[in-house]
Amino acid sequence: MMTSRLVRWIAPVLVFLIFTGVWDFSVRWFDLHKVILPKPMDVLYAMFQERWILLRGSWVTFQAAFLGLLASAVIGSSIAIVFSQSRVVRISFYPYVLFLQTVPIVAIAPLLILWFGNEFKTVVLVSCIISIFPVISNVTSGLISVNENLRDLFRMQSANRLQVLLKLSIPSAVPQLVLGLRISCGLAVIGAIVGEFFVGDRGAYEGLGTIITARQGNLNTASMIGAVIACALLGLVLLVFVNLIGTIVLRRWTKDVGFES
Amino acid sequence: MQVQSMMASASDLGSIECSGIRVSYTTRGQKREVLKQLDLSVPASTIVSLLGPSGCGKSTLLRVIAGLVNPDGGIVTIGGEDWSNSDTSKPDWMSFVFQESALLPWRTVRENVALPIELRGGVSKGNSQEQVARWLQHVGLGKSDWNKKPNELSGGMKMRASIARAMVTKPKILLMDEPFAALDDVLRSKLNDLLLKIAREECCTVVFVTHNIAEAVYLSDTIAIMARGQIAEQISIPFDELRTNSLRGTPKFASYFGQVSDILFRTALDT
Repeated sequence: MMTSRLVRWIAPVLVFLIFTGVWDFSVRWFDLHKVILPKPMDVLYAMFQERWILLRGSWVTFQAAFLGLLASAVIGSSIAIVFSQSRVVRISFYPYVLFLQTVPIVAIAPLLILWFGNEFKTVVLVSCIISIFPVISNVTSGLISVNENLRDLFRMQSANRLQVLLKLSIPSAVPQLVLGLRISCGLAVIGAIVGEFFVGDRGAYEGLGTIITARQGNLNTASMIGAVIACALLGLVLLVFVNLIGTIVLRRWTKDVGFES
Repeated sequence: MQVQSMMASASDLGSIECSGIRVSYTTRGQKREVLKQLDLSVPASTIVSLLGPSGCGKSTLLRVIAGLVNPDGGIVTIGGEDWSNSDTSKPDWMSFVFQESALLPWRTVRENVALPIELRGGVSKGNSQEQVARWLQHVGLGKSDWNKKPNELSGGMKMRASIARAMVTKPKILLMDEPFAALDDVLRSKLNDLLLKIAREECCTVVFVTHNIAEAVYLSDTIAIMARGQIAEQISIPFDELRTNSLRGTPKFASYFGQVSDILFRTALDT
């Protein structure tokens, strides 16, 4: 038991060391220019030097991604509730919801910038658009696939539509919402960063995406890689955050024969 | 005169009359008749078991009585009134107990039992809490279990909670769809005794779907054996002695058991 737990920690660290070792060795061996690929230590140094810029950028991007995700949760769940109430509405609007999923965000981001400006709210919007689909589809299926026995239980009491929705369908769909948000949170970070690419450094905006575009202009590769690593860490933080909330919520909603059978 | 007729109908609320019930399902274009011109009469305050092989339509019949399935033809009369054509309202003196206890997993046991009162919204808060507590105690759930979630309870405990929830609205008719099928024998006999006690105290009519012969003999005033969408045979099971666990060892019990299993065997061979 002890050794397996130890291996769990040591093995990934070992992989990391080998990876950076090969990286460092390759740069020296092939004599690569630092614009093409800087050494790991250079990246670390650049990150340290720009730590405040990166931290501030991460915070801005985190806010954008978080608000985008929150908007997805609220708007997506509301749309799902409307969908669950009428088959006709569901059939009529579903193709356009699918459109949200299939439209390349890179293609419409410039349009959104045009309409809403080089601003924080545009970034939030991009993040929301890209992350809303999993919420809509998961919550809708959660709302319409309630356990038959529970449905009949409510019918036996002649419960009205609103009672069924509030006391049965919505609570039943909570695990599906958590599941949807887990998928969405990665997308929300991608959306925020893509949004920031397009906002660029024209506006008074300093997110991780704008930092990357700025460093690209300066050919400062080490600093760019540093920002990319910050993006990945940011995504991780948001994922851990959503998972934490999800676990707390799901502990109340644990499964049961009457629920999942 | 009028008062008298109202009194009469009040005591008969628990009676069920099914006549000429037809139900068919269509799956992938294939029409399958589940119930064929079925007639069944259940007098008030009696316990009737529906017994038969799986697929004979016993659960469907129970759901027709409950108003959860609309029959293609026939009339369901409950408490002397025809309910078969009313889609929305159902007699509010009828409760259903599902095969899996069907408790809401996000609610505590107490909240689950309170649900029917909550949905009806009629009773004042304090009064309903009292009702809930009374039934929780009555079915044998200790105070320490009241605030637990269903997944923290054993199968037997869940079924007790489910029965409490069914009884909290003071029904005159209790419809049960293989409620104890997933429980072991000891728990099953304990819950059989609980059901008998409740039915006797509350003067409840019980329609009980099962495929367990011993359970049917132990509980029922009448056993209706179903085959191919109809009632194949009905036998009444009178016992002079009280229905307690010692009844199960008596020759009379064994004789009823044999009689019922003979009929079941015969009708099952026909299919």
